[in-house]
Amino acid sequence: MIKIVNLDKYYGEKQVLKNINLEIKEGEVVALIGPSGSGKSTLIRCIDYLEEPTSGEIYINGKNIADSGKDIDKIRQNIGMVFQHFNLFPHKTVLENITLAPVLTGRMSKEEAEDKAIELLKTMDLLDKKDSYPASLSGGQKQRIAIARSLAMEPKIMLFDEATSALDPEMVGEVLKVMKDLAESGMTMVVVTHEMAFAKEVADRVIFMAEGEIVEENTAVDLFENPQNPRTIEFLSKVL
Amino acid sequence: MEILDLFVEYKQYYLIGIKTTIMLSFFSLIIGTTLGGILCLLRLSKFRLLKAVATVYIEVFRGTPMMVQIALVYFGSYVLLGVDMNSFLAALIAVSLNSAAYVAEIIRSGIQSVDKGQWEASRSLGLSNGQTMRHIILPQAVKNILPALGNEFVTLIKETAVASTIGVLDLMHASKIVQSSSYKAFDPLVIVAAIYFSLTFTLSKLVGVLERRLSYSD
Repeated sequence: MIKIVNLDKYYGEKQVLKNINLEIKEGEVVALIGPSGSGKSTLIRCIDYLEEPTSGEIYINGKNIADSGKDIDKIRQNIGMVFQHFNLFPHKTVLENITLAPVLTGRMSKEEAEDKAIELLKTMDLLDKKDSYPASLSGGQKQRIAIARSLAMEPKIMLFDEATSALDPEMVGEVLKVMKDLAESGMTMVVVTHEMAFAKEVADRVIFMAEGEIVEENTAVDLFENPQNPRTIEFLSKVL
Repeated sequence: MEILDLFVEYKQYYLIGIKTTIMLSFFSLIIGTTLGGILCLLRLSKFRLLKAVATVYIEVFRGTPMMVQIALVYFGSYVLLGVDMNSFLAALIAVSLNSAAYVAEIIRSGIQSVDKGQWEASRSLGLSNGQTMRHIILPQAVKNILPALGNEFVTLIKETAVASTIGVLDLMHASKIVQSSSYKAFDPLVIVAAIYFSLTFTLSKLVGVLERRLSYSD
């Protein structure tokens, strides 16, 4: 579903991703872990083409996104992205935030999009907030709305870029629960996270990155309980 | 009240002046804002040449006095093109071109004040560049720049007084006529200042109303 081949990314002289090769299958939940500055976020942002790779290829369902030109919008419509700082549209109500993209991209009529939004808000237990503006919501509520906004496009892949890092501790749980439910529903997910317990419980595969490289990857249980690389061992000893 | 009598006595001049000043301001505001929007898009464009053209334009128009610009358009159209231009039209062109330069910079600052995450969220949902600009960025930018834009519009109304130097029958010109026919130097100036003030004050109140309307989402 996602295939990354020989991906390099430079910011000026600095190389932030070094020869990344990665394949993610449909329905798989992959967690990216590693110290800050290890390139996890850059990698996940490359998948959505918010960062342009310096060299290498990224294929989404067999299509090279670098060659997609104007079709990049079409590809992105099938990939949901959730950001650390939510990035809700502050001038739109919760309902408008969710219905905007399905309607503007012609994917749904206004009525269909609203029905879909209401259904999503119900599952998030946030239906009473549908006419509120983002400024009046808590961080956890904002992030759940942001997830609903992505899901409204009925994406095939969901990317989470440190979705809980900006939240107050008591709100992390409610967002992780939504993500867990989503994983159990069979969504293909790539999750950049510092929540090791979550990665261990929910991810099918965990990838440890450091200094722009994939250092080690394995099933969640094996990576956490039996890490091989000294750098992985050192990192896990600090965070677990 | 002597001053009121003066106003009533010469009211036909003042009325013409008010009408001309309002027309000049209104149309310059519309044309200037439209041009300013286009200029701003050029300025933010990826194409170096377009960017350079817009930058030079903005710098030149912000860096020269409006009085010079008006004279250049009015007399220049005759000297360079052989066109005997109507003075109102010349003033309209000059004020619009001048205002466009300021508006372009105001809009640019507004667009750049919107958080980069808004672009990313919108594009990641599959909206195009244009859709993102129109539905996500511009509405937030407009809200941010409204005070600055209101300021620019007030300045524009006041600056139109310069049109009197090329013979446009605006408020300032009317005031000069009243000065010379009434042999009074001071009172007509008080009257004209009061009229300009009531125009600009009304406008800034209207902008204030709009600002409050747009703050619904705070």
